[in-house]
Amino acid sequence: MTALLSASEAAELRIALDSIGVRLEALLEEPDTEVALFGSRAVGLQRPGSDWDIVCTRAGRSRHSRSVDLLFVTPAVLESNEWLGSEIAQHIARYGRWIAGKPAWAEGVFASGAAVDRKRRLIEDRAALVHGKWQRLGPVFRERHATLLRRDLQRLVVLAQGYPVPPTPVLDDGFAPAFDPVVPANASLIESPIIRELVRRDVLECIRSMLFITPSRTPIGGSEVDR
Amino acid sequence: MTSGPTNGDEHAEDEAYLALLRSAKEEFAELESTTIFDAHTARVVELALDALATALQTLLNDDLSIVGKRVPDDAFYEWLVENGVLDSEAGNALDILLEAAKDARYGEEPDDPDAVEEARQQFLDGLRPLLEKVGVA
Repeated sequence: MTALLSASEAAELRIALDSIGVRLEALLEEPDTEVALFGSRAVGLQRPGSDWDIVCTRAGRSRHSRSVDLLFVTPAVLESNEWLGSEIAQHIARYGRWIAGKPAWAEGVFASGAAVDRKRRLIEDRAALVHGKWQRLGPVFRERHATLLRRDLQRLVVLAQGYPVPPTPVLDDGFAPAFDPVVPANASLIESPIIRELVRRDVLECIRSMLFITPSRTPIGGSEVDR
Repeated sequence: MTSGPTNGDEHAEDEAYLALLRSAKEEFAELESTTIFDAHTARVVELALDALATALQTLLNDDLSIVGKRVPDDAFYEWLVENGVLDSEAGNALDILLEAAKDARYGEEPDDPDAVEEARQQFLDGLRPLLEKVGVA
């Protein structure tokens, strides 16, 4: 049942699941259940210490640890518009790697305004909290929270364009300096024009345009006036 | 940890030190008063933990006698657990708090708010002896 995982993947995943008291074989052998990897490991872009993101389509208690995020979604939820239009469903349908079963629901996912609004609210809340604490955060924490915010802004841009959000390493590769022409090694994963733009252009410029904030024009010869 | 006067007694005239101590006290008070019941409050606690870690790390490195050696500026609380400054129960509680914060990054509400609340109290109980030593609690 683990043929869709390499031997080393199965061994690593078994250890990660053991840490939360779940047996890999028990997860895969459950009848009428689909199991998928998602996130960086699903597309081979994991880094040292990357966790395992797994979705399992049956009732169960979702569990999270530093090494594994195990998400259970019931068949009833899978059919709901809330799920089908969610950021995570769009991501799994596009980037997930199914290691048990075949997902019928993945055909029904759609880009939703609700997912965009949810992401926007999350960013606003997080940005306000980080802003309030900024002076009290050391450099390590500042960098971490700035990175989290930057990734969420990138996700917002992608969602608002109607594309599924790619795994985090793709976002990080896309955060190149302004006009850096470097194309990341995982370029084949970059299907969204906006992500391609993020690779080539200043990410903040893209974000401003997505948030409908028009940057002030630079006057040419000092005579141009905004209308 | 050593016994004797707290760090605060030795640095009563040091403005920078007093500002850090005040910051640590305020963050600890926020951690004590914030019940995690949704994604927003989980984010509030995560940032209070980070701000408290920033202040404590500086205070502890200012007086190496408190924990006996320099503490790192990343994975601060984990270092305290690994070095026996926090007990394993506080360490497990910290893991639960950090997982709630991780869920909140994706907008997810805590799976089990009661367990997270219990973890918050256990973690603060475990941290209190160190805070008393530094003069924060």
